Amino acid sequence: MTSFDQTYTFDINQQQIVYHRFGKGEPVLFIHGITTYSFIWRNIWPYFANDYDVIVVDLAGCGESSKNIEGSFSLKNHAFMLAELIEHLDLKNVHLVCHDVGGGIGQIMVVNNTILFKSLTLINSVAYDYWPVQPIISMRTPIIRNLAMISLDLGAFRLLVKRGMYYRNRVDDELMSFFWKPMDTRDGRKAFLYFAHCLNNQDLMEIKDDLAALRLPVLIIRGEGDVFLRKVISEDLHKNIHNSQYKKISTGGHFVQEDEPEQLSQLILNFYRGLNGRG
Amino acid sequence: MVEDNKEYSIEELKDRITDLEKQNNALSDQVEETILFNFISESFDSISNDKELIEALLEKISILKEIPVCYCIEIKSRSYKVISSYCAYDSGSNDCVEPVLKKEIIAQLQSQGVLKIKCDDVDPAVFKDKVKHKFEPYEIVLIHFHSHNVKNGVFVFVSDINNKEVFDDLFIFNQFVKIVTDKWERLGLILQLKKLNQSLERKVKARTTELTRLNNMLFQEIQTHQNTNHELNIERKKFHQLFQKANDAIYLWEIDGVASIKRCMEVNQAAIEMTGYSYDELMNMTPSDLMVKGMKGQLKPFLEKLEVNKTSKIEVIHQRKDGTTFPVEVNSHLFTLDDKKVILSIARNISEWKKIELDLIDAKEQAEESDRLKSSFLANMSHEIRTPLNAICGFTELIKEDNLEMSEVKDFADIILNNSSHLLNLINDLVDFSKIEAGYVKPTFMPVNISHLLRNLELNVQSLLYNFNKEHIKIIIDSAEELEEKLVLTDEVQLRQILSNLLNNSVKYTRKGSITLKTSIVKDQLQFIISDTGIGIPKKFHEKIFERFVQVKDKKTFSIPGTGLGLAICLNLAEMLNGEVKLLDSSIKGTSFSLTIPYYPSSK
Repeated sequence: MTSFDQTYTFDINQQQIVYHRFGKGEPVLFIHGITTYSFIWRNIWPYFANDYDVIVVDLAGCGESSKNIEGSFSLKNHAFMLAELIEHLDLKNVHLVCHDVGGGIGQIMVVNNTILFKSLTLINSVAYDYWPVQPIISMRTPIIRNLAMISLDLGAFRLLVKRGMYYRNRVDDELMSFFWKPMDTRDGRKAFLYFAHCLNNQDLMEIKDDLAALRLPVLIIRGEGDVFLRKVISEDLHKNIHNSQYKKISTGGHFVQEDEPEQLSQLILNFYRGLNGRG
Repeated sequence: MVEDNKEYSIEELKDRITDLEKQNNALSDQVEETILFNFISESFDSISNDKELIEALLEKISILKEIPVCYCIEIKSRSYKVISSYCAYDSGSNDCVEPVLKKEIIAQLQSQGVLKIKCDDVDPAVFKDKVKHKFEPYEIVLIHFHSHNVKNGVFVFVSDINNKEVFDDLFIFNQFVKIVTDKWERLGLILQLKKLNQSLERKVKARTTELTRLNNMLFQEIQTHQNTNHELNIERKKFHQLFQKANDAIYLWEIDGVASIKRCMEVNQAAIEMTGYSYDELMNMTPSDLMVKGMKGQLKPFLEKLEVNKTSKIEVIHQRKDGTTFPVEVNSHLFTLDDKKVILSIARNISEWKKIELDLIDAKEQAEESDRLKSSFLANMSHEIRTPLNAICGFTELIKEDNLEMSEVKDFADIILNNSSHLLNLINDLVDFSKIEAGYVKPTFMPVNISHLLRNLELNVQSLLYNFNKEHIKIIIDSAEELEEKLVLTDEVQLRQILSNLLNNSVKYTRKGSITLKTSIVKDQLQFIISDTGIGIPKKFHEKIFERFVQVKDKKTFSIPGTGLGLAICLNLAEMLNGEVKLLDSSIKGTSFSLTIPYYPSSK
């Protein structure tokens, strides 16, 4: 793994956001999803660091950022904190690259302040109400239950990670140590569960129309082996967002960054080149 | 999922979905319970203290049963204390808000064991204030428990209004409490066991330390004892050697109260060698047995004296086993040994001392005699020297007178000459003797013609007789025929002087009769016998006549001159010639001396 040699912090809403920044050029902000943190981009950002101003964040309650659960970890709130970070860093023409629930955060960010952004890339992203986290019947929401259980046991966590990979034999001790690290402390586990608890489909349902009206270039990427999020989500996003492209990686799972980092990076870089008239 | 070709109405499908959801929920419950118990069981393996255990389990039950807040509380007589808590919506470990437990609720709980109360009934305002934006408390379940360390405790579980059914079945919570308290009991027992073990280990350690200390002390004592024993052994050996190797006989006698010897306790090797008795024989003897008959009476007074003075010395004669005797000086000391009165007697054989003592007395007497002789000699010498000198001086003075006749001058000159000769002889004798005594005279063995020597001596004697006006005395030289013209290896000068001295004495002390010199060969010795018919030597002088400065002086010999050195010179010269001179006989009829020297015939 290429190490983060430039680490910064940003305080907002009683939270301390940790982010890493490398290179020069148009800013690219990488936003992870649930169960992961900045480490998930470790094989991706090196492809961008030569030509872009790369910013990789740990969302509040994740990775090395603070674990204060007094405030909300809702998608809206995460989007608010990251927007504050962009303003703090005085970034313009930001490319957003989002994964999993990070995709929901990215959607909220771009509809709220489109002018700040140059593009949005959604990789195996949540959207609309297809993401079944809302309490439906007796709180028996599979994903939440899954997340609760995996927070307690490394073996269960390993199963989840394996299910999220196309190349399941790549799940080794090093990768698991990245995934498991926040679960090692009680506060880490609490923050993780609180993040899950705060997830609400309503946040994304609210922006459904704004998303349809979006004119920002959007790249939608799906690992065809993703067993956690159905392909209909990506298909509907592509159908509803006017200026969107839809790319599929047949050998990618939910954690496609681990399965096909180069292929994934090249898809995004090609997308950027297209935006600049070079693709 | 449609598994057959039957067509369902919408309502039927909804019912079907609801059934499937229920089944799913039931299955999910079972899975959760299994997982929870698995987690609890796994926790036992890694958790070793009460606090960690309860923290881990509260967290797990909270997560799996979606319990936002749960507590473990210890109830005391007038208060209660939160032992551990878990609040899903609080940061940190101990920020959980404490519930308010009213007395009547506690009382009710203790009588019923388990309570389920709607939050509306217990005024959960305290939760609402703190976490109102996170969840809405719906029900509280309180389960009473007691364990070894918490005698009166309660687990409190609070449900969220969105999870109303969670307390419908309390089996899993009761099981949870039971497992926790069982584990606590086990941990308690393990803890007690650990404490007992630690206490035992401490005791064993202390005991071991004490034993080690005592062992070390004992070891040191043994070491010291061994060292002391070793030193004592060395001392014992040293004194044994001193005792056994002493030149003096050492006896250790035990005495009874009345100063009499009871038994012999020990003797050394010197005592055995000195007396000739064996060790066992000496051990059965008393000091009296060692003493000669005439001295046994001295023992009792000696012991009495020793009793008083503690030390005493006595000289006695001891008798050996073979009957021979020897003088001993016995130094004795009286002392107490192991409550017994003991005499240590050191007996020294003083035979040598006694002999030396006698020799010293003898030497002293001889010295005194020698001194007396010297005085006598000096007195005699002064007379002997002064007399001729007076004559010489007197007659020389007379010659100087003018009115003397020629015959008178001649007579006076003869007198002066005679006296001068006598003085010269006297001085010659003194010088000769001095030379002999100083070791300046060494014999020179050369072939000597004895016959020729005898003829010369005869002429000298005749001349001497003439000088003394004793021509009437007959001189007889009787030489063995085998010596005729024979050469004998000896020192002629010294042989001549010995024979001259003896013959001169005969001339001086013989008034009439004869003087005989007889020579013979006896075995390998050449013997000269000089006999005369003189006045003889009184018997009392016989042993002394060969000593220096001894001269027989009595009424008869008063006027006979002499130095008293002649026979002493003869004795010394005869020894130089490996021969011997002695007085054979002497009486009023005459005197006989003999001179014997080795007979070494020579061819030339």
